[in-house]
Amino acid sequence: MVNKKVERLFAVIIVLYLLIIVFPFIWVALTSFKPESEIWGASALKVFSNNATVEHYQALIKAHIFNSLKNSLIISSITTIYVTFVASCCAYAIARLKFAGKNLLLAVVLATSMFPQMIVVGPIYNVFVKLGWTNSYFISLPYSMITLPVAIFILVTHFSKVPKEMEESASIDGASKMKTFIKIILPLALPGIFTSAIITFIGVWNEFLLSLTLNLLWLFYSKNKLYQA
Amino acid sequence: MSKMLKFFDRHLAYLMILPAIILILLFSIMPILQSTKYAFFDFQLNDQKKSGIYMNSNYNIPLSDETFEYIDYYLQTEASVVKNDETKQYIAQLRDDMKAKQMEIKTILGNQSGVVETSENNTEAIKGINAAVMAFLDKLYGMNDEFYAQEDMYAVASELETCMIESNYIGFDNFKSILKDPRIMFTLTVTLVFTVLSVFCELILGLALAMIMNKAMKGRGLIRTLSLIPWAIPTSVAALMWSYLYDGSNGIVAHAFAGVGFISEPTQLLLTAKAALGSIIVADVWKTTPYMALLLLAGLQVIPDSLYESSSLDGANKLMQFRHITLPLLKPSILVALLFRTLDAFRVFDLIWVLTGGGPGGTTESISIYAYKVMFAQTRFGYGSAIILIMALAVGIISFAYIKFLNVKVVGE
Repeated sequence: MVNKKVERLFAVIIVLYLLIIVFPFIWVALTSFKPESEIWGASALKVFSNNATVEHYQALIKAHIFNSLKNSLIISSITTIYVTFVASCCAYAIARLKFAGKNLLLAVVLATSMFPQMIVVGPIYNVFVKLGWTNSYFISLPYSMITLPVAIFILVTHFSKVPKEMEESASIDGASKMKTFIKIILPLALPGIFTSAIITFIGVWNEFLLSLTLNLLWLFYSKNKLYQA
Repeated sequence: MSKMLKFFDRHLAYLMILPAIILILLFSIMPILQSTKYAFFDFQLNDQKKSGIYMNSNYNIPLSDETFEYIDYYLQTEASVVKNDETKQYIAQLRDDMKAKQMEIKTILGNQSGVVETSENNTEAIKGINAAVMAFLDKLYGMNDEFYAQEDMYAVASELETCMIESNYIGFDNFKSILKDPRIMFTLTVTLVFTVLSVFCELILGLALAMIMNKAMKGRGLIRTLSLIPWAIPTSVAALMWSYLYDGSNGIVAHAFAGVGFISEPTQLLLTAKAALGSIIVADVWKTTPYMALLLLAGLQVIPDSLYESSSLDGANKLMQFRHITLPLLKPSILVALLFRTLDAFRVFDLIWVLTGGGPGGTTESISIYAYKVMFAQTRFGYGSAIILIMALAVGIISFAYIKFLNVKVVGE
């Protein structure tokens, strides 16, 4: 009897929790179909609008939402591709190969992931202004600062899980280390690579500070592009 | 061919880490060193004399050329308005004299161009030339005649002073001003309050939810997917959503809070200091608790059921099981999650920037927000970098404390 009650309580809590999670989305979605006059003012708290409209979506299209989406997509994809590649190589070396200074490298990677991002923004901004790289896809390069350490850590755990016997048998069959990596390790660690790629992509897609600083078209002195907006 | 392959194989490890090292050097380590350097200079982008890192005195030749051009232009203007022949003659001679002075400066600097370093002797010599130019102008305007552009002329000529750039190295002065800056202590307090409260709430709620989810039979997949949504959307988007929900006259959450009695009026939510900070914490808890719950759930699922079974045979109740089995076995996951959440919360930027912008009246400014405002709104890169260094130091102390005293194992087993 007691167990039934507890279970019911848990179910109620879970449902409440899910409601709280989705509530802001639902409310904002409902609001997006309300005409301007019902968003602000007395009728703002009404759940459904009597005169639903898609005018806000039309306004979005006019405001070049697709251009912004395209930029985000391109920047996130470029970053994901090269960061995943670089991180895979580095993580494999850390997980399986011997080299001097491995612990130092790990410590540096860890430390950079802990540093506040704010510390790189000023110098990178100055360099970008000097090179004329503001408001461009070059922003993908400094994004490695945020995404690379995380990707390396995820991949190191995944590469260490690949059984060593696979590698040993490959090397007995005469495969070079490089071949072993490409033909044996990479396919086996593919789920991990996907995980790190997805996390990198989301990280870049959501990043705010660097794009606010480097790619804000009407920032006060991105000289040449100031008047094009 | 095979030689190259052999070379590759022998040095494979170094070749494989090379790209990562280059990226880390270029975009993490160099900027960090550069920021450290900025912190020791009075580096301000909006001040022509401080818009660079100048260890020594410098002279801005393009600006000086431009200034002499303007002086010449105004001399011509004066020549066209003055009445006396004597003045006209003097102006004609003055135009040549000015050209001579301009050349003199260039000769002193060895006919270089751009912004160039100057020795102390050269600086003195140029100061003398500037004084001579001023004396010429004083003599001109001392003459008994009608002039047109006297004010403009002096305004332009004063630029000659600006050409002389003194070293803006100031040692530890930025750090000394930080100690005296009341806003630093204030923003640091705000950041700490935000960090402690939000991480605490997230941990407690996340742990409770993870334990409930662990028991839930049906719909685990759905619960997990929905839980990931707040974490996966951009913080700035979440902040925009909440800023509408919190809006004093139109926001449903603001009205709900007022109805429950957290605040007396819905408009007070974003307009009073404590309520605004509270609403930021609520938004952060909403965004991060589900993620925390998932992390802890993963830890919970590793604990073998047999432990619970045997302990219940020994007569342990639920509370004792939680205290003696769940908590100790979950401790590593909890500590790692806590460490990374604390660091994340300590450098909070997007959420506050979009939701309140640091307002009302700077009462919700975190230290990141303050540093960003100093750097990009006031363009004081030197002082801003010093603030960020202090922040990085705090982050270092926090991580050190976690790793040393709580024995967090961040890497490996």
